[in-house]
Amino acid sequence: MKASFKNLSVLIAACMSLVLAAGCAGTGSNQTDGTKATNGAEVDGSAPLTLSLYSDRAWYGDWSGPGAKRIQAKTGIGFNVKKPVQDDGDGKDISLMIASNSLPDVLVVDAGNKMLQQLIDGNYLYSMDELIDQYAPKLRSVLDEQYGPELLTNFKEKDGKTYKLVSGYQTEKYLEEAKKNAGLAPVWLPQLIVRKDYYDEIGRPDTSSPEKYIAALEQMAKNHPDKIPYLGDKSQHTGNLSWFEPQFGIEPYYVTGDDVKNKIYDSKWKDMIKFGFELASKGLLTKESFVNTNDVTAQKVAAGDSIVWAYNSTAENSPAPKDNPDTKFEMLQPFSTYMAPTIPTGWLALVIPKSNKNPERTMKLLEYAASKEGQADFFFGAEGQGEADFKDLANGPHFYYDSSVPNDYFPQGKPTYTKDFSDALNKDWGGTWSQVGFGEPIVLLANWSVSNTVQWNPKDEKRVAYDKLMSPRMKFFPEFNFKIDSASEFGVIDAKLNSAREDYVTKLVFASSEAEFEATFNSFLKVAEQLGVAKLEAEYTRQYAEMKQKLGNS
Amino acid sequence: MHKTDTHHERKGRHWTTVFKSQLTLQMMILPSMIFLIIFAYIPIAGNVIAFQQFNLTTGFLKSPFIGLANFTEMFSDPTFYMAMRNTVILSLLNMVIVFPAPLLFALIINEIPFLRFRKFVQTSSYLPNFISFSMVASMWIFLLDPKGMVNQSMLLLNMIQHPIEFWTEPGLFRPLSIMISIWKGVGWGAIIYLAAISGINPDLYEAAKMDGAGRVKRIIHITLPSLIPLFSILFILNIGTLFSGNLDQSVLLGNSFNKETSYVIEYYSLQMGLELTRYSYATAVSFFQSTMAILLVLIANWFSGKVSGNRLF
Repeated sequence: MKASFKNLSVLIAACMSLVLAAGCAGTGSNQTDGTKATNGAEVDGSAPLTLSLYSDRAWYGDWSGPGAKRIQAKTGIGFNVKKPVQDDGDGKDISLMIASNSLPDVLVVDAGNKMLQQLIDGNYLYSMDELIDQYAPKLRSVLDEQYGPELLTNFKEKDGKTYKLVSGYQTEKYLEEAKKNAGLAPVWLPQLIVRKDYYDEIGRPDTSSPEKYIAALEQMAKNHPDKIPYLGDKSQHTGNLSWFEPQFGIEPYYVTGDDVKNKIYDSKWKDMIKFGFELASKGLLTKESFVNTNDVTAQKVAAGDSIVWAYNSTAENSPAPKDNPDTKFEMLQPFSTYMAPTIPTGWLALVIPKSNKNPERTMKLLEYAASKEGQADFFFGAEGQGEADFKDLANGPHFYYDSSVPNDYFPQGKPTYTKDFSDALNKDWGGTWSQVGFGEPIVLLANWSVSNTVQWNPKDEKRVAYDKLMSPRMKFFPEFNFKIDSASEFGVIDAKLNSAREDYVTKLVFASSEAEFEATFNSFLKVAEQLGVAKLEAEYTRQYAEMKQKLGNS
Repeated sequence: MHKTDTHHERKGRHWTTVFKSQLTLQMMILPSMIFLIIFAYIPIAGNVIAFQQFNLTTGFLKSPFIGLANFTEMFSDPTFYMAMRNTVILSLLNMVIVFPAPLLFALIINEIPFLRFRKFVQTSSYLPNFISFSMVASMWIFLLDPKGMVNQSMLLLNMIQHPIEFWTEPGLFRPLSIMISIWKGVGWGAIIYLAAISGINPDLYEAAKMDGAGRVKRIIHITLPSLIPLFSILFILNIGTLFSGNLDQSVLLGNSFNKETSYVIEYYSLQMGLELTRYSYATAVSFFQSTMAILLVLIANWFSGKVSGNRLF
């Protein structure tokens, strides 16, 4: 009896150890070497193939919706998706994948993901040029002609090779199309949003300069002393008063001659901080805008607690504040100095690690995804015959070609949503997209000139007016696309400088007097010097010269 | 007598003989040992990157050694000292105020004569423990907002003339952090003490009652002394956290106004490691924390043994 008990215990312990060991073991599915994993059926392009995909975007889909199924039926390729619960632009997941040697077949990540460079420098990725030449030669001409040649020229690494395919990069071709279709200015540009009822009360004065805006806000605050005059959230104000930056036309870096300096030396930056100080000293800017999260701010705005709200042009579609259902929000006239700077880096980057189990079929899939046919399948859904052609959300049809409206990409006419699908989107935007299962959540490669066609409507007067107002205020700075490794000496200086600026901006805005403001500002500049800002600026200047030369030659 | 004999007998035997005689039990503990070795002991070797210029793509075997450079930088960074000071102050306050609170709460609950009411108090005090800290933070930010319930009530009662900016006043961060910690953890922390109280021999209370001891005297002379060993052990375990903790409060309730009191060492380490990808530097910071924690636990263990005779090891 004693012996059998002992044996049983040994057996249980052994089983528990096995379970533990099994739990620790990886599946090994991602470890396959691209050169040896392919078998005959996979190479001929007909056998079903499931690739693993990692995206650092929390909104990325799981490739199981109706849209993904249609693409899988057409190509034979599906994806096993791994994604984080929260966006991971810092690349924590990729670090772990590198450390555990478990990179997936494909990565679709934010173009600014910090670990992308490590993947390139560590020789973990296939060069796109080589893969295109070897497996998908048509892709080169599709990218050059339909996206813009910049995609394969502007992202070359030191070795002259391109390792990432970037979606949403503002190529010349895209900018032309966007201008033509009144789609250049994004709706999310930072704006000052006012309650119409309060603005009407004071006779809708001009707010196109800091002084005029302060005067108008003071008047509205006087009429409604129980309200918060101006309200935003901490991400918009802590560290840099970033919400006000475009209003003052501040460029990402301050260029004097050939030297590139940090923007803290730009007089416009000081003017902006002084503007914040003036607002705060008049009680028009409170500490709430530096403390509240966006949820808290949104709740206060919805409750009608604020007069001016830091948001964007879509606020006009927001529900009216609870205390006056008859009013609405509207965008104030931007300052005459308004300039929205963009350093074009693209939106998402697709890279193929050397662990990819079938580079040939992956490239064939990309060739299809990049084409007009692929873009239509990925972004427009199922094609129908006309406006009224619609069965259900899963099967569509979701769009048709409107032959009455000419289109640069589709000779059959402008891709247009079918009426019922469009109505469903207007009724419940998020819910409808999750049911149809195509679009951004399954994106591999996006040609914004094509994917936006269905959204652009140059006949929409409101939209045209917004684009007319804002697009001249947009400026692109490709020469500022600096690469500063956050773990390098420059990265450390940059981080310390940002931290110091975060501490000083609140001290400056809430200074008790103008003299204190000036003294604090000077002390901040001294701290910046001590932190080694000059060293960082020398690096900016070096990279700036390189970029200018590269862009001039491209 | 028999027990002592067995003890001496066991002491005299070779460890392999003892191990063999306990083979069944030793095998039962094996999976846990393997788990600990894999996930707790082997990773300790990773601390080597604190002395390297670690490169993720080459791994720690090929990363160059840079000696104590990361530690030198750490000890010359004023932000590190600010974070360290805040961590130690908050942890000391936690130890003095938050740590004994569950003991007091358990004593109070134990004295509630009405069983149903006692159960109600006990259950409702557990609930905050199950709410995630992000929810707790949002709730308290709302409650203590200038337009929140607390400020509005105080204004209505004429206790204040202007709303108090609870979350932007550096001096208020520590008291608020302590208050929230007590609110969230006191009920849950009291469970272990209530369990210990229920294990006290009721005859002792009966005898004390017969000797004329009142309720307070019974607490002082029976309940508290019975709980001291448990309290000491928990204290020794807790003292290791003196150089860590409070990350939730720091991240979710900290802001640029109260940073001088809210920014703690774990937040610093998190920013250095995950946001700036300075893995070597962040490891140096946590290596320092771990070393200090081990030292403190050893000292506390020795001190507890000297004073109360209760030692963890």
